Amino acid sequence: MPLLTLIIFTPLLGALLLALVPIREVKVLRAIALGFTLVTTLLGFLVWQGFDPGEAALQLTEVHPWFELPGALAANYSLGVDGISILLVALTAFLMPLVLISTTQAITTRVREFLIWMLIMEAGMLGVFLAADLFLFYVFWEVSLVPLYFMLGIWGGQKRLYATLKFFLFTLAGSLVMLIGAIALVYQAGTLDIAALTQWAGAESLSVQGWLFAAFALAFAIKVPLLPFHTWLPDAHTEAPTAGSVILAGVLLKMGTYGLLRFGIAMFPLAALEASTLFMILGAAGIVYGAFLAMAQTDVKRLIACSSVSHLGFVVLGMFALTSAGLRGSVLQMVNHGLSTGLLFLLIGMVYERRHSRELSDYGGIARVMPMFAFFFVFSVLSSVGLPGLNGFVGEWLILLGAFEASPVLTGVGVTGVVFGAVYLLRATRLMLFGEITSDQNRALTDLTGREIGLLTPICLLCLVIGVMPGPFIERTEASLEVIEQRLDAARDQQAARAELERPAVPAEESAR
Amino acid sequence: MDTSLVDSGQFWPWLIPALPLLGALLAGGLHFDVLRRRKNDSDASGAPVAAGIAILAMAGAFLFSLKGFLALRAGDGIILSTAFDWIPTGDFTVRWSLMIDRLSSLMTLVVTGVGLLIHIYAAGYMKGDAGYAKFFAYLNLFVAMMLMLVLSDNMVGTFVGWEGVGLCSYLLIGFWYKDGWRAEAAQKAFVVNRIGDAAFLLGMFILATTFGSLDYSAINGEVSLLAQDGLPWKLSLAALLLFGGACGKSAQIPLFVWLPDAMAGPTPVSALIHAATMVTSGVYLVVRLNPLFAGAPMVLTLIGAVGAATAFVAGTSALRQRDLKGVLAYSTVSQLGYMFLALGVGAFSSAIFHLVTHAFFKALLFLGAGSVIHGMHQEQDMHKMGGLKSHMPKTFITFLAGAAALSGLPLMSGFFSKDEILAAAFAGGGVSLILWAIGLVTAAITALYTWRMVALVFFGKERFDVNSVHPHESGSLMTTPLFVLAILSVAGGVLGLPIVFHAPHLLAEWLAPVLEPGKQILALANDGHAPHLSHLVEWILLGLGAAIALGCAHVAFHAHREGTASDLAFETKNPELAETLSNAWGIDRAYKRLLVQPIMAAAAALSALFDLALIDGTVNGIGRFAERTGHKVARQANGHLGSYGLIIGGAACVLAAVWMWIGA
Repeated sequence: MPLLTLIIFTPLLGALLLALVPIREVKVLRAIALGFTLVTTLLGFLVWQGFDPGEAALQLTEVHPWFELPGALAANYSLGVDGISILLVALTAFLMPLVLISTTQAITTRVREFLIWMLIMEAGMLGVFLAADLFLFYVFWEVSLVPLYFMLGIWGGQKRLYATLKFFLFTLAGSLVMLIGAIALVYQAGTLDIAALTQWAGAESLSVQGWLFAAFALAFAIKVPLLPFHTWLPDAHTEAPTAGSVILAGVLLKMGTYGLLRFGIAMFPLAALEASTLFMILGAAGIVYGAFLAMAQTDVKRLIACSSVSHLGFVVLGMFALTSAGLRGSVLQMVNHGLSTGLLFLLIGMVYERRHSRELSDYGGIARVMPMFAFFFVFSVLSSVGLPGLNGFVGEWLILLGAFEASPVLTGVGVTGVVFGAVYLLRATRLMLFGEITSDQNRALTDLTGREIGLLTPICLLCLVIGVMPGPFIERTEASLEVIEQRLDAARDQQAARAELERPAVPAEESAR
Repeated sequence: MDTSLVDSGQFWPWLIPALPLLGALLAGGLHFDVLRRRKNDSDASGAPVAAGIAILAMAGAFLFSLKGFLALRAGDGIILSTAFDWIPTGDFTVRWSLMIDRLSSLMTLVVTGVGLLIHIYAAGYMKGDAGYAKFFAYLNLFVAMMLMLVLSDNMVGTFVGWEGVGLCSYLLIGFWYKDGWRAEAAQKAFVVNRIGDAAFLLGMFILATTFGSLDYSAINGEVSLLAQDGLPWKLSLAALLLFGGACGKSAQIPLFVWLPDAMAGPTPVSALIHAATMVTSGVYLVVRLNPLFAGAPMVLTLIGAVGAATAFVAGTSALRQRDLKGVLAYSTVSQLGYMFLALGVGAFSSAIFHLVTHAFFKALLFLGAGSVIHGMHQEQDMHKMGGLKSHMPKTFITFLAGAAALSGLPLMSGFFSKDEILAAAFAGGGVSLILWAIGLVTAAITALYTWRMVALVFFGKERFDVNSVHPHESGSLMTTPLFVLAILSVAGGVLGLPIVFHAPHLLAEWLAPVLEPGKQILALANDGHAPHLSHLVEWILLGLGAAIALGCAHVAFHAHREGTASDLAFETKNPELAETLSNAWGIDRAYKRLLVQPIMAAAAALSALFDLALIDGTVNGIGRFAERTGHKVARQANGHLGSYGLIIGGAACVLAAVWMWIGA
């Protein structure tokens, strides 16, 4: 069974059906969309089950000739999943139905279109993570960009047009640089197959790797977003409808960190070693910078958006430490951030639907009237600040441990994020939930409905499971990450050998060091 | 030390933390059920079912703690119980694993024993509170986390408990979150603790990267081997960072500022979390890693100095509190300072001894204070109390026992444990003598503030409106735990009688195997022998301690038994000094001015000036530039053939030039 093709095309099929059916009943349309995402979730579960944790290379592969590019380059329709992508595929498949359910009340205009874009987005994101061919990857990369553009532009907030344009231009700029890099890469290597490209690039010299790495890394750094390319994110998050924010934080940003790992580090290990310090600095700076931004916000959604900058700083810090703990932690933290920040955006969306305000000062004391909301909000905050026993801790701890091996000083900078994270999130918690209720509007708020509790609970449970028993998740990434570590080790040897060669004649005892 | 412990294959140790955890889940579920029922029935309450669940869970945990203790006493070695793998780092794997050894067993007994009494007390104290079930859910969760902290066989598991108790502390300080100031106190406690936690994390990373394991047995074993020729500096750094973590949790200078504010929580919380158990975690951590700290003499000296300074500063501050709980809060900080002073002079077992006796008498005093506050309709100002001894005889008599123990009156539990610390400091000689002197002065201060408190609350005339306030004795649910704790506070000294009494020091003997590695390393530094005092000197020190405690208690009691006059006289004579002392020497205010405000201002500036104006301004500028250029270029497409021709011709020329340049 071509499982991976099925998982990508099920949502597309759903989108097609939605476009064609002559039904106008919104409930039915929603049910159709939900049905297709649920089937996708089921398929995601089958992929998860069928995945062999011991295998490092791509699994469940499918290769079909597609067409030929000029220069006898064969573009294939080829898919596969490995330890780098499995968690993200599972996360996407897991989150989408929940996100869809969350829109029942929030999206009431042009519902059909909205659902179609959601399904196309899901297909695009899954495609990005599953593509084993660079051309196909690029196609999915761009496909996943378009739906959010429309979601922001049509269903967004007041400043949506500015935010939409900004988001689009930023990402497009990155995409173009990547395109140039990709063209340069494939014509030198003579293939579009990502595994083959990885083999080829690994054998190249630093000067070749360096430029290609720079082109790819820039595109992904914008997507992550890494300091100083982050300013599109708070605007996009603030203006996006809840579902858009959840997907953006949950999955879309991970396309950046995923790309950094698959195309940056795995493909160009020599260049990654050279760039390691730079990226660790950017990561650590992003942690502190994002936290400071978050501390200054009065709009709670913007605050969460800024916290994403900080949290993704952790991911980059751990990833570019290029140590086994750091790599494991960063891959796991991609999922963790998706879950905890997704939860926070969902909750903000729920309270926004009731109160139509995102200003912290409009709230206060609502734990009294919304105890369930308060429970879930505090839970999500704790997951986000990395409380041990919940998911965030495992990832953050591994990241910091791995980063510490590479650079104790930068880890010292990064670890302040643990403190600042508590500052801005607990401040938001206090201002929203605690204190006296002062306005009648707040006194009249109603607590979460069964539907809302039902969609939050699975995510919270997953947070708990990853926090207590992350083994099954980390285990699935290990084999693939070990291959990357070996390539990095080989690159380190090469680096050392080159340093040896370049070194001018020195006294014997010094060179023996 | 055996570095490769064998798993016992027994699962019951997990029941010790699991029972309170289960209790927390059940009580928490009950809380939401109560909320649901309250929609129709405004009187719906979780009492007394929630308390019943929580107390049963505590009793179960206590029994299994006892089972562990008895097993060890029967000669079993360390009991290790591994559940499953937790975090595979690639280099080593962190497991969910518990270890019952002589130290953790003692801690579980204190936590579950004192915890059980406080739970029973709270069942009465919280009666009528809207969040009754929630309170017990939090309280049980706290105990579960505290047990995880002391039982884990590795540092990461301890860290789970470490942050877990911090969370519960946060939730319970802010329990009455409707009052904004309580919610702020809760947030402050969490954030200040997190500063310590960040240091803890870094210390843990040094140990992990050095030893490739975070199991205590492995770390202690390896450190003991390394210590033969002195520990490398990075391990001293690790010890320093871990002490930073301990400073946060155990409220030592410079991170003590959260504890006085933490009194915003219900009084049983102050007794359990902010006196008896959580705040002693830092002491536990240092003792657990005693070889590491013993091998880092400079860090040890620092710990002693910080402890002595904290004991003194907080003690003087307790002198000038009018809030009953405020006295006890600063007193707790001060007594924790004693424990760190003990650690600093290498008297690990004395630190634990004081930890245990302090758990008894400070829990007692807090619960007694709660009973007073309860009986006085939530009044906490001692200047508005007075003469309560006849109104609340049971509370009074038990409170006296706690006060006697705290102030170190002869033969009380606190007398022996404090004396042991001071004797150890004296025996250390050199710099330790300064610590001893500070400790002795603080002992005098302790007796002063304790008996001032007793006199102001229970003696003299009633300074409240007898017509509107009718102080009443609390119910037996609350007073029974007071009596149990009173007995422990009075008699707890038998755990560690001085050598000159020619009786076995039960606690030191019990802990000896755990402390042996650290002791050996310390002895190494002292050319093989431990500091020792002659019996005569010991007797003199004991007598000195007794005389100071009795003398100061006498002075304070008589100065304050007639009312508030001497307090007010001091305040009018030295208004500035009184103000400085009552605010812990202004340290908290200095933080706000020098740290909190600048950081928040920097955040605002960074967001407004740097992020929005500079970075985003640049982005928008590029956008506008592109737009304007676009408009200009678009204007060229004006439909005039001539201008197209001009552009094509011009472009051709440029291209030709470029081509020729490349060609050449």
